[in-house]
Amino acid sequence: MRLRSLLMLACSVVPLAAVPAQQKIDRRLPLDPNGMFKFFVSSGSVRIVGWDVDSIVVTGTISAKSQFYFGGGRQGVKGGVEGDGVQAMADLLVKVPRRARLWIRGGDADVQVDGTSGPLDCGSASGTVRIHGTAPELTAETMGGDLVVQASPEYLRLKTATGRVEFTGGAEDGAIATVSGRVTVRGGGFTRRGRIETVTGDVRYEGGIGDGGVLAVDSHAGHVDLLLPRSVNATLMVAAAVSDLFGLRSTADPTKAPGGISRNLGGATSGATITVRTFKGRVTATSP
Amino acid sequence: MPPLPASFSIPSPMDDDIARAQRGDVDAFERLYRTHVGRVNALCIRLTGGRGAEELLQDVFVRIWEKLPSFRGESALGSWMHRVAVNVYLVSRRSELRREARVVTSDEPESLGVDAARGFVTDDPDARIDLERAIARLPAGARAAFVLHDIEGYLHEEIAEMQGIAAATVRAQLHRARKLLIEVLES
Amino acid sequence: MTDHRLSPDDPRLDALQRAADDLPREVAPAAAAWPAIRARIEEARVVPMGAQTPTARRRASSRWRLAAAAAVLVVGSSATTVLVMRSEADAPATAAAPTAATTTAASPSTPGATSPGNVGAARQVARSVWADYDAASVDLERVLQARRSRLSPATVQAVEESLRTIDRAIGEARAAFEKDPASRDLMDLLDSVYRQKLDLLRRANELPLRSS
Repeated sequence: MRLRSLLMLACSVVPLAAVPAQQKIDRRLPLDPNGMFKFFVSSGSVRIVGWDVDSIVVTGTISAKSQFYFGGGRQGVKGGVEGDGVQAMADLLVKVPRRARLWIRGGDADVQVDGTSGPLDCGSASGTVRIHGTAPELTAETMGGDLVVQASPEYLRLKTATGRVEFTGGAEDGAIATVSGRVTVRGGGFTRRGRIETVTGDVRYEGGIGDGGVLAVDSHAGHVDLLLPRSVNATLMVAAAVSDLFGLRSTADPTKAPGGISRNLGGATSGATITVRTFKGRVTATSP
Repeated sequence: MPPLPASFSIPSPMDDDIARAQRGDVDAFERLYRTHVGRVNALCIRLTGGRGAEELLQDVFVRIWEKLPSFRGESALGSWMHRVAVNVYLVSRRSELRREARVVTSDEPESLGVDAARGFVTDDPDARIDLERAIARLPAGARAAFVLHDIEGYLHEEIAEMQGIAAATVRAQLHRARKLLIEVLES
Repeated sequence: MTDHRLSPDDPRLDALQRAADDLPREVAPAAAAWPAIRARIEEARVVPMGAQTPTARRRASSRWRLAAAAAVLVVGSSATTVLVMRSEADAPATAAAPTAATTTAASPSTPGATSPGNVGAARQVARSVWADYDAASVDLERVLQARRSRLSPATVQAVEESLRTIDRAIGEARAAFEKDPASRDLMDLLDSVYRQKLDLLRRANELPLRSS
């Protein structure tokens, strides 16, 4: 009895050891070179890096109240970090076989993908998504977060709502959509087919377009600026619905256009087609 | 390892796309299209003998789009699409196929053989006719029976039900197809 | 005449089956196949159930058809480009002759326009289509409301701000369309904005939820 009382007294005065604020993660699983990897992170950041090893390695830290899941076989591995909203913070580095097929989701987390060459489907609700790789098919979506992509896939689909989209590279078949986010395309552009849609987001297209390619830009009120290489041979058609808000009426006369000369269609027998439709946005098209 | 919480259900990307496409997302449908079009296109080319294959492919995927909301996952999506393709083809050629089915079961097999073989005379008698081209030149009903049974693996009864003809007729068409193909490939 | 019967044991049957088994199971389609399919799907989507009128079909637009602008310019290798006029009212001083690239466009004299006799029908069909879009939006917004508390505040803000932006755009475009129901380009733009609204709502409803 006396010993128990002493112990109880000791416990009441000795401070409890501090609960660790983070958990360390260091996990590894084998995955075939063309295997599938699915990963979800609620908050924080995750960086995916392609490497030439038939394994997935996850390292980093997650918050104390998070739960980490990781499992699967050589054909496919699934993992993620789940918890209670803000408290499920993660800061993770994931190394994956370079050609693995990836499905990555960040609830509000920032996602970065580097050096992978397998098909990629990536998204975050309000986090930023950055991709630098050679995926043949690339789909990336956010709502409020930005999309920054440097790649040249055959098939490209990028969507945000308020986030901006920066795409540097080329795509055979590409589509970019935002509501108010600004869209910037640089590099090769769309070689066979491209579509850009915004509601109020501005569009700056500094890319090329392949022979016989089709580029369609729809923006209700965003400004559309096309900067096309001199080598581009295309038919450009613009339709705008509200004439008194159509900003280029003063430059519609070719002689007043800044360095601009129009060409008859007769010369573009095998050229590309660029179509811009806007309700009240300004549209310009120039060559550097 | 503890079980995943309910909120952490990650459907496969394909499941995502099926659900999205069923709700009208054309971009998701395009991804399904790209995954399955190779096999469906091969079927369309062989069923039509190459003539009108592109139009059939379009008709098939438009029909798949229309019927997708009714897909409940009882089979793999690819298998389901395949059956839709077969049905679209068979419906479009119903009268032609039924007419040929009546001819196959006529009482003059010798004349059938001559008539059927006539279509196999090539412009270049020295050219080898590979199997694909030989299939393309089969009469429509025989071609359908061969493609669906010997290439795609449907049962006689399945083919018969899809065409609204007797299984015995399908067997006869299949026999006819094989005989003609062997004759042509040996010539 | 060759014996028209084949014995089931005929070894040539095995050889034929092996050859059939070796045939490729997949053949890639022409690149133009998907755009054609998409065009047919999108045409069918614009027309509401029961309103399959030829007028409605002509009006339904595939984004891969060329826009019927009043005038067209060519961006060539030796020049910077100049821009073009709006689709209908302006007399196109630099209207160019149609080329192979524009053979599917409407004639330059009535670019993007509907014949006067169909204007009333155009307005009616458009309102019917918008009603379908609005109904679909209401359903999706109801689902979003139920999920709202389990999305992050930043995500909710992005979605709601975007919906307000889209609804403003729809209001402006519909008001303009009521004054100019002959404008095919306006219809196409409205269709684009409506589809973006539905796509936004679908995507929001598919976002992973935070655990409660």
